[in-house]
Amino acid sequence: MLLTFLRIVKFALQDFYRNFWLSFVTISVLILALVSVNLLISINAVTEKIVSVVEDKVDINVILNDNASEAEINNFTIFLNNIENVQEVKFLSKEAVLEDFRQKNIGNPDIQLALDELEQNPFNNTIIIKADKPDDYEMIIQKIKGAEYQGLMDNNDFSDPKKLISFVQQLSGKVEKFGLFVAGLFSMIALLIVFNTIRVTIYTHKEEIGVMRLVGATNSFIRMPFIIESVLYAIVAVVLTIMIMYFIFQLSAPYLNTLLDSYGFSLNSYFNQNFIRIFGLELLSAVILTIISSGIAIRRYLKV
Amino acid sequence: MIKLRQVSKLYPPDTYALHKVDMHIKDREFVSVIGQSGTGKTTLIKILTAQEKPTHGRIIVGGWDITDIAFREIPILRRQIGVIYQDFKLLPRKTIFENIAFALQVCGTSRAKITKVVPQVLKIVGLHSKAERYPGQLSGGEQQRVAIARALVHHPQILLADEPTGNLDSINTREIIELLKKINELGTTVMLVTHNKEVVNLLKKRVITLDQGKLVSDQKVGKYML
Repeated sequence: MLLTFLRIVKFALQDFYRNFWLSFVTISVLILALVSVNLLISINAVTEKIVSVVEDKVDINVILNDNASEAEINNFTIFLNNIENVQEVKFLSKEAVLEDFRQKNIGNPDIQLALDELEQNPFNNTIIIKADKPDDYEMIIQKIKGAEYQGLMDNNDFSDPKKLISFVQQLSGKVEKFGLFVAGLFSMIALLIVFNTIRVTIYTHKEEIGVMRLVGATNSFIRMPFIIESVLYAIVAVVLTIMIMYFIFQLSAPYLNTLLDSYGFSLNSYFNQNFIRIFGLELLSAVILTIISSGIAIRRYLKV
Repeated sequence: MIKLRQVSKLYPPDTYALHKVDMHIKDREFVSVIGQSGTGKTTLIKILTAQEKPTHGRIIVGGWDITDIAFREIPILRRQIGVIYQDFKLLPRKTIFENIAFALQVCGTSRAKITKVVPQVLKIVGLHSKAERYPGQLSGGEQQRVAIARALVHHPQILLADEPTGNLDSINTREIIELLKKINELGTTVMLVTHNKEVVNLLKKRVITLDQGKLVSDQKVGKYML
């Protein structure tokens, strides 16, 4: 049994090497399909991270005018805290706002100089409101606008952060659809190429297959090398894809790191953490699909 | 050893390659099946090796009714029947040894047994000194002897020879026929399909004549009469 299996693998390897260029093209197209799937996964991961960062960053800033007394501010804060779905209400004094602004622009000497030259603090007391979910902001804004505290506020034109988030999501959705189309297209081409490769391999081994039939080789022994060969294509393609993807991560790291490194995200570590899930599933899918494809070719062109 | 009962093979719409053929070939017999082209000789070989199924009738090989043989049992049948053809069917990129070993490899035979059996059959066909040569380096007669050696590796009960001398000159033809006789004397039933008059007359063995798919004559010690 083991001997038979080893011989089947040996014949499959012989087919693989004898039709080297055909194997090369087949594996290349499989790699294209797999790389496009992985790029799609990468785009998804980056978008998810960006959306979560944006969600985390968005809030409503209520700028208070200088006439607002401490008691009025306290009442307003209590009112805000009582609105449903408000996660946090934070009061920042004008000094704190100035300090925060200085910190955020610490690398910009022009701004620092301009702030130093100003005699007065240009900022106002501010209340920062965070909602439970991005969807809640619209309702909270309406409640604030309809409340009796309009006189305390310097601004009453709040931009809805939800719009920004949905813009990012829409954009990523479009990229994802395009990616899915490309991945689907490459997968289809890859399956057709595998089908054709096995068909050609069967044709080039016509004599050997004839002799095998003549001398009483079992049907499975005649067919199995072609199945093993297609599995080999899938395995080699997935291994090379992993190498190519990590090379792409290295190349893209400087650009992505400036954007997302401070949030503890890199594609390299994302793929490391999900290595088995992503590449295991890809290997399984590639093996199953190439087996189906070669199976159809064998059924159609290999008469035993 | 081989029994055919009312065997017919119809190729649609209305061409009978074999028509109600009754035949009984005994164990260790040497039988020549003759007939002009298109009389059903090759169809007979195909039916006996389960490459084709008969439209009607029953076929029994070595006591085994193979009329409705299961797909998975066909390889077992083919190991019991050695077949040689006019075009030898050797693999040009393998040596003589490898060609014969290949027949054993694909049937799961161990390496040790292959190393033992291949030189034995090469000795029977007289080619043990040319084991490392390639088919292209041998004469037609020698190539056919390699094909015979390959057909013998599974120790078949029956050897079917489909026009084995069709591509050979008269000297090589005689050598191959002598070899087939020798194999028959060693205990293998031989069915020789041919339309070579000289061969049939030389053999002085049983001759079955097919004409338009029908068995028209069966002589114990026959001559080519068509």
